[in-house]
Amino acid sequence: MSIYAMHNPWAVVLIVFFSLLFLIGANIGEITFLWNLGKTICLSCIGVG
Amino acid sequence: MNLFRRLVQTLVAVGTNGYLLFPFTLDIYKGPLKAICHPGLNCYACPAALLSCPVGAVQNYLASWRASSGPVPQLGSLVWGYLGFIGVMVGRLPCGWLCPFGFIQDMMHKIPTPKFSFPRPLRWVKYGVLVVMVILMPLFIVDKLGLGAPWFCKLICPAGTSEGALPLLIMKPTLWGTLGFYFWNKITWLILIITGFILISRFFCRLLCPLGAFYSLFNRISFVKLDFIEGNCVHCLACVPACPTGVRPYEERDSRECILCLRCVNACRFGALNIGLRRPMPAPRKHVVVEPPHRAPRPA
Repeated sequence: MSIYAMHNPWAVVLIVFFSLLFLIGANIGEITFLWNLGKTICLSCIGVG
Repeated sequence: MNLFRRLVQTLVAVGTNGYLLFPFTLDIYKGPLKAICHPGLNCYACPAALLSCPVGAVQNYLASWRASSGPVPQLGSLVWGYLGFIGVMVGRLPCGWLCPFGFIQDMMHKIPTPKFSFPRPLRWVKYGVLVVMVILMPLFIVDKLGLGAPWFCKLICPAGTSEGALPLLIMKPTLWGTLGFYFWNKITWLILIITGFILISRFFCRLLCPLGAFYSLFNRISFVKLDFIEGNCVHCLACVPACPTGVRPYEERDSRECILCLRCVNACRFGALNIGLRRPMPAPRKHVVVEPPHRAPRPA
């Protein structure tokens, strides 16, 4: 990774940023939300309403 | 390479929609894999889907963040982080290799009909769909309880209609009684979009897909990229008709439309195109040692 940082610094910064974002989401209960969401039949996808 | 890509697309489409018990249980899969998002557009209401849809997930996070109970609002950072990480690593490669809906488009475009080119200015529409329908509308159009709706799923998503709605309506006929304007609107969109991608290659990806729009933001910095070796190019233009998204690889470097399907690499007989990693550092300068001028020895 270190040699990439020399020419592609934004990509490395963004990798760190998105990894942190993912970890924050995992730690505030978003995995449970996602699982519960997946267990329901998406009425919007069907066009109910 | 194209055969290999077809194999990967088939395996991913079948593997991530591999819940084959649904005709017996008459229900969708509800296991722990639903806590993981698919890297492509794949409706989680599809009875066979094993993974969640990232576009549906982020809309639902944004639509219901007011109702989240924790100290930090749940705005979908899990999914944004996941998608961003993939984007920075490989750009739009998932569109070309992993997206089941992209695979459906590739297959249906093979139906022998007259083919048309895509009006290039329309490629910007998908960014509008991403910002307006996936982010702003779920955030700000809310009911009395403060709950929004996944508007892209509700109004347009053809993956939801074809993979989710139609199989579920066959499985659960009681749902027919609940259908109204939104369903018929989505059926209309589905017919238009299917007609579009039979006539125009990757029509949905280029015009409307919010996931493709998000990944495309990283095409200029992603580690995996399409390499163009200018010295090998003879300008035969064989790469142009090969590209399903209308990119001209010889003049558009790191195009946001490139889905890294590598059909141009196959088409190029001169080795001017290849997949590669972004150059880790600038080419090193040659270190030239300048010799001091040779002086003749002084006469004694």
